[in-house]
Amino acid sequence: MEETKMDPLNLIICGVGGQGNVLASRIIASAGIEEGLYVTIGETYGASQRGGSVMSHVRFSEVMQYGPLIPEGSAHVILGFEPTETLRVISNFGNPTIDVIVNPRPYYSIDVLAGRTEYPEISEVLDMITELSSSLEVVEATELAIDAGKAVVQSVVMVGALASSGLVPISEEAFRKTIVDIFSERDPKLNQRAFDLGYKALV
Amino acid sequence: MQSVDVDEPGKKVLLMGNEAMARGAIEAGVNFCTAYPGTPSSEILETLAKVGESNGIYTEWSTNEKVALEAAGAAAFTGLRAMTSMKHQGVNVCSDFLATVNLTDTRGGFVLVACDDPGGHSSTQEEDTRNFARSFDIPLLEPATIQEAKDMVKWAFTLSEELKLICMMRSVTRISHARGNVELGEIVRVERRASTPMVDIFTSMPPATRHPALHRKLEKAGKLFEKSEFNWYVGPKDAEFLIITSGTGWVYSQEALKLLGLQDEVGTLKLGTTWPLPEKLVSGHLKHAKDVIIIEEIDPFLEQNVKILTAEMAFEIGPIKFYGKRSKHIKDTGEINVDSVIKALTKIKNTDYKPRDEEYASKVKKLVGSVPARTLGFCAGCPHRASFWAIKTAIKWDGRDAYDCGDIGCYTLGIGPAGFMQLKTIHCMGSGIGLATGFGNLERFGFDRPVIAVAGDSTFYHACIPALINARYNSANVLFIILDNSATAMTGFQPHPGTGTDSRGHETPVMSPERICEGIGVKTVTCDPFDFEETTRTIYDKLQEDGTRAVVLRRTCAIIEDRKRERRPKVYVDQSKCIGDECGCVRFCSRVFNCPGIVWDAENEKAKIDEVICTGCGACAKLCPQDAIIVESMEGEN
Amino acid sequence: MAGVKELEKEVIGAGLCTSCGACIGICPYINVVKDKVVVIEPCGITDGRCYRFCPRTSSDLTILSESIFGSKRSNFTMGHHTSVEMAQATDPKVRSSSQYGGVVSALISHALNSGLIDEAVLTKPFDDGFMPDPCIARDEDEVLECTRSNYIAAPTLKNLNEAIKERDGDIGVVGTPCQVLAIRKMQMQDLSDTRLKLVIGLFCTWAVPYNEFYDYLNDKIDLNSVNRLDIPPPPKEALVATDEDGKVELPLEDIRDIVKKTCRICYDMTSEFADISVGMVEGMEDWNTLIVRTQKGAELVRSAISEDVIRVEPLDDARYNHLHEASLNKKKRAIEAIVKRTKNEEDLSYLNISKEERDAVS
Repeated sequence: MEETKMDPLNLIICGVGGQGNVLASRIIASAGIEEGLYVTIGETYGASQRGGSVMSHVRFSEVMQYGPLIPEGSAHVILGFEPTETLRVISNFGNPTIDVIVNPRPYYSIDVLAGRTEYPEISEVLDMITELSSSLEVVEATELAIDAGKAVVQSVVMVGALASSGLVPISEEAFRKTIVDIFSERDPKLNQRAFDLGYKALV
Repeated sequence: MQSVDVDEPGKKVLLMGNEAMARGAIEAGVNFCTAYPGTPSSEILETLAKVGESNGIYTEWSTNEKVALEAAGAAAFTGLRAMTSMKHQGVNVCSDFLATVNLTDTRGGFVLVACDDPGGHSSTQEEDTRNFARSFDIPLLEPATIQEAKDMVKWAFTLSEELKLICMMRSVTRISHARGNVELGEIVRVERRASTPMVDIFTSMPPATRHPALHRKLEKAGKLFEKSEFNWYVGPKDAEFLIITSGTGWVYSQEALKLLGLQDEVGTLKLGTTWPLPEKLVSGHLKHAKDVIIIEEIDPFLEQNVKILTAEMAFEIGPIKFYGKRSKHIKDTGEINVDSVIKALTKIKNTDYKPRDEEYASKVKKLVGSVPARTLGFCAGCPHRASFWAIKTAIKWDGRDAYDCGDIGCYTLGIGPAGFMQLKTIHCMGSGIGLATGFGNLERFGFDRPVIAVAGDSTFYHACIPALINARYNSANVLFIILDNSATAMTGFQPHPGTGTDSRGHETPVMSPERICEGIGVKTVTCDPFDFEETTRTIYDKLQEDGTRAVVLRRTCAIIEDRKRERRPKVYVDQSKCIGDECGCVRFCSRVFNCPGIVWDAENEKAKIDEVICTGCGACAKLCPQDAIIVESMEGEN
Repeated sequence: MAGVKELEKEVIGAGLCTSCGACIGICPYINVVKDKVVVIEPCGITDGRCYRFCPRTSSDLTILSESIFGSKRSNFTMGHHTSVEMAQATDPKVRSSSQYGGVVSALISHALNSGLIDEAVLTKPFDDGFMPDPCIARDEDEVLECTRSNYIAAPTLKNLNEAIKERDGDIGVVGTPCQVLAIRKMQMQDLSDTRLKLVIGLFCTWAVPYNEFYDYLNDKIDLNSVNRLDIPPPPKEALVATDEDGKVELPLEDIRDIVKKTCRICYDMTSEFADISVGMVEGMEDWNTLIVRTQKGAELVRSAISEDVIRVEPLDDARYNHLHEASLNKKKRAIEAIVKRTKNEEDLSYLNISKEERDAVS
């Protein structure tokens, strides 16, 4: 088991409804349980899945079961499926010590498409994230997912990247066992490949 | 992932709160489970339905929460263990039966699980269902953790059988939809047969004897609660500063105390049984307290009950300064969290707490400002987008500014830009057509706008039929449009009487909305919302008619369609045909039709299909003024 | 520079839309329901074709004349022309299926047959119900399905827009004066001129709106079987409607009460900007008045005569003077009505005419 940086270790997975943050949180949390940790996830389903902002708060501890919501400014790791959503989370939960992994592919809101608001330049967004974090890794998860076979496994690619980053106190074996387990009856090869591509992306 | 019914007591697994409740019911040997989908409760029955058949558990998606509670009530009367689960608004729907079944002596354990949505993340309002427990004299349990969610449900059946009374457990989003470690317990398998002893009549009558009898049951519950393992005190002995809390307030307050370093100063009384209050236990701790803060979700329910107790026992307890929602130390609306508790405690203690470096905090504010919120919209391929475009166009053609009443479902988003701002009212299930029967009879008072009501297929079965009958019976001029996407989509694609399957996936008879409408005598026409010309013309023609009439717009939900497919049809924009910003188009597909699958390529000044998001429905191709959007058929030809 | 927002405010919302159809079919934002133009949603651009083509937005008749006829506008009462005659289709079948002399049908058929045009944008008097129906004809038989008149203005130009957008080939159009004006505004600012080879204009004094006309006639005739509407020449002051049960005569003054408001400010009785203009001849039901204006028009008429598709006779002075007077009177009424709206003698709204012309027609 990796050495825990903090206890609890607070991970936020963020993106737009439908990008797979719930699945990702389940994989990561299950791997954490496999590792013998207390894990709590807080997230919302329902309306927010219709193109709204979504966050999963995942909290790991060796000591106790924490509540499902991370307090203001207390995130440690941010796994961002979308650049502006990553900024949104940093705005509320960021602090100088955060480590960020982000998929830089934008997901335009209907407001942006309708011309009511503007979407910032990706380079600007990444610059801001760099300025506001301790480290930033950019993973082209959607491209890698398409390589693996389907864009929809982008979330599993990101889990792979997180697994190899060393940012969460969970071993590679625990992750791999969980991937096999969760996807045993649902596109096992595709998801395995997605995880591998994400894992390699940060190595 | 192993199933929630795995027979390995002691095993530690990751479960969602709702899954833990399902597991608790399984461990209790539940027999009969009913529900209507409602966020954040839907997974309770979903989980039970997955394992129900192999465990001898009957599961049912009922048409609405009242029927769900009644169906489960029948099982409880016959000695079976029964459970009904719903979201907070569902309790409003079943309240009539709840207020009579509480006066009825039940036999088998009967448990109602109500899942509130503080802040209304997925609801049209927020509401504290604990108030029903007090109104209707029903014992109330509140889990504080996911483990407790399981253990309490299990105990609730025992409690219910002991009292011969329905028992209520109140959960919230942050329990129901949170996941955490749960240690599994033993599954108790007891053979139960449904029977109705001849002497028993199940009724609330006469109230003159049954109401006092209910009060006596509640007193008994209060005594049992004094010894409950779900109530505890932590912290320094006889602490003068006391937190009293229930539900999620427990984890939030403990984390806040840790962050503020107040664990050695502040005591916490955590209650899992909150109606009736275990008065000896509570007053015992009130006696040593001078400052009491009460932390709970939504209403000052616990707060008011503790204050009543304090007033009654004023001479024994002495003066106490209370803090909570009434003093606005804890916000009295919306969801609470660790930060809410920190804010309250620092205010009371007059101290400061900075969650993060101040320089960083101001840098974040300056750099990021505020990221614009994402307005909720229909998914790519959603038939509702097409329906609302047709309705909007038909209303414009008609020119009398028709008034469109909305209802609950994914299509509720029609109140906003996603549905072109069509809907003018949104309240609760069935209230669209309900209001419309009123609006449809206001012509005599000068209301000259034609009246439309929209409802989804699941909503139709849940609540619309009586209102539709009312419209015809009272000659209301209403055009009723049923948006049938063959799913209860917003809550997670549960089946209903129109989909042809039940909770276990078995085939069921289909009760088509058209046949029900025609049976009421309401003439009904069916269209495919993706056939824009026909749908718009039909709605326009129907707007010219009088009386109560209906149109069914039928096309399967895009997500369901997408899941069925191996491969999506490829859709792309022919760059040579797209005229983008020019007169004749002005970005109609991305800007006006506003499907997230179509984006604007600013560099080339053309529309572009985002292949990751697009589901290949082809609706945009039909509307493109230049026929520039091409949909390849699955065989690869245009 | 203006777009649909201004169109809504200045024309549609002001009750001045003629239902010509010029703004229909060029974008998804404007539809037409029967004869009512409906804006589904403003597109937001400030320079739109809808506004530019509309016959009720600023129309400079002097510039239009230069562009179409290549000469200064000088005939202020009937517009530029090279001849005014009487004419009729030689084929009695054509005449009997037509309102009057069948000249429009004959010329259009001839234009199709001679290959001048591949399709003609015409108007059927009645669709399945009571509304005129814009239609496309590609041969004589199809032309003969589009004969006769209805007094409801039909948005025929939407079919012209569709023809331009959807198909190749050369096009001919038959339209009312406002439609002809819109077509010429299109040609000045668009490139459809190369394919638009023939514009035949009809004489028109007014049109009625669909709803009011329908409501008026509904209890008087069977609107589902009506097959002919006629306004015989004076002194008979009647509209004659024919359905499967026979003819009904209705007082013309009732009809005049429901005439479209926008017709009262119309300045053009004889379709002054067409290639050829065709109307009735008073007292001669089997003949048309034929005005030839452009070289294109003259060529077509010449070849139609030489191939015995139509025959022409001179128009007598009395009838010519009467036509002249009627056209001038319409202009006077129009200016009066416009000034009544604008409340300003100098402001002629959409009508942009030279001082010389203004003086001549006042």
